[in-house]
Amino acid sequence: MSRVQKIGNAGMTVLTVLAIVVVQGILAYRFRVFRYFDLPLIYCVYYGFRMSKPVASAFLGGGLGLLQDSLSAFPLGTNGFCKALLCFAAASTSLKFNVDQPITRVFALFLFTLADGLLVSILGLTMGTGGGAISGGRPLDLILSGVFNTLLGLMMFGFRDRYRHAT
Amino acid sequence: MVSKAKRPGWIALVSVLVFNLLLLSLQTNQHGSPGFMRKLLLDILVPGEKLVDSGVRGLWGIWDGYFALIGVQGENEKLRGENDQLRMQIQQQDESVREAARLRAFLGIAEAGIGKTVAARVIGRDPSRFQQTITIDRGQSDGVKSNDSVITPDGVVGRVFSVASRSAVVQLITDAQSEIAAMFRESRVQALFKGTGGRELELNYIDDDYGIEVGAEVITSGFDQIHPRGLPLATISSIGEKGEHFRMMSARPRVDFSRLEDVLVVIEPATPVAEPSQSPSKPAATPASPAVHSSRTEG
Repeated sequence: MSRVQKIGNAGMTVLTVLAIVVVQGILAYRFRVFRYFDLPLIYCVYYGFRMSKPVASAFLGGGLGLLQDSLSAFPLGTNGFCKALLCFAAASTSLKFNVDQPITRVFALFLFTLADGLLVSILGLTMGTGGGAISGGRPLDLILSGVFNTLLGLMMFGFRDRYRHAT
Repeated sequence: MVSKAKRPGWIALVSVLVFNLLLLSLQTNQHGSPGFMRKLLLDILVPGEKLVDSGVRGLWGIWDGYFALIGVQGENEKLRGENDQLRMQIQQQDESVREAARLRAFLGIAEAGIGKTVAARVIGRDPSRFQQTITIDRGQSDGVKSNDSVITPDGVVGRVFSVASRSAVVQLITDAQSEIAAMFRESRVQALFKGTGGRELELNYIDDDYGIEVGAEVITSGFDQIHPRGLPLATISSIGEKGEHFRMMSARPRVDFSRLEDVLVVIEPATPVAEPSQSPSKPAATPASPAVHSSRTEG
């Protein structure tokens, strides 16, 4: 791959990351159901599985999480920490398992959503900013979020598979 | 042992994690709060958000302007009727307002009011799933500061959490980390309402002797030094079982957050109205601290 192509790909990735955070904010504002989705997390898993590059994935996840934190009331670094870890884990998983199997994707998306909720909650409790997903009656919301993220993630992966086979 | 080939991956991960932990720890001790970084990230993100939002608004405008006009004539007639009634009410209340102003001047009490406000448009919502914040299109350049009160004609929306040059993030009153000093309109009992992270507010540990019932109106008390006094806040929606001494209550906010389009930011609050010493207020149900809207402040 030439240097120009590499720079172009990096630019596209940065633009995609910005677009995902913006679109998530606007969709969550316009449609109530989108509060259950976490597009940045789905993209982290998608990117990790597609690229299988743990280093790049850790940086991408960290950046994506920081952007997410800036638009929320979370202390800066909460989502940055969680998304970096999960994006790295997704890329590492793709090196060891066959992530083209739908069942692997279902498990990964659901478990990564739960892990994200738990990590954010643990960091929130440590920082004294609340239990996030595990406080009050919200564990049910977290499971619902896992289901929605899994369905949307599967659609994204399906789209990617179709595109890959077409080219 | 980690092989040489695998080491860079772990080093990169640990670097990113340590960087994020450092950011978190800076915010814990409040001395070096990385507000500049949040401001920078907001300045990067919000122009894009404004652009997409205006596109979405344009599409919705086409729908509202051309396709959703069925039944408008009937609605128009109904609104005309309501308008006539309201004009009559205003005429009746005008005299009461003049009388109140005369009495205020007579007693030497400062003029009541909200203060200087700036109108803002909501352009986005919290992109993470666990917090309740909105993004507005007004920032430092419009005079918006951290901890400014954000309201609508219906009631209190929240407080400004972080500010960038031309945008700000507002923490809603329903956020799980939000607390607001309030009082009941009729009984004047003061209380501290907390967000639940859902659609309601909750009031814990209120003495059940006060005889508060479902439907009681709650207004801001102004003791949090964030929100002006007397703004509509919520209506009591359910009251828990009587405990030994205390009971719990839930309240539905007056503002419908799912339809929030435009808000007002109070950038210069009016001088607080002095509390008459012969007030019929009962003792506070929950002690209100000076910074009760949220336990955390952002620079």
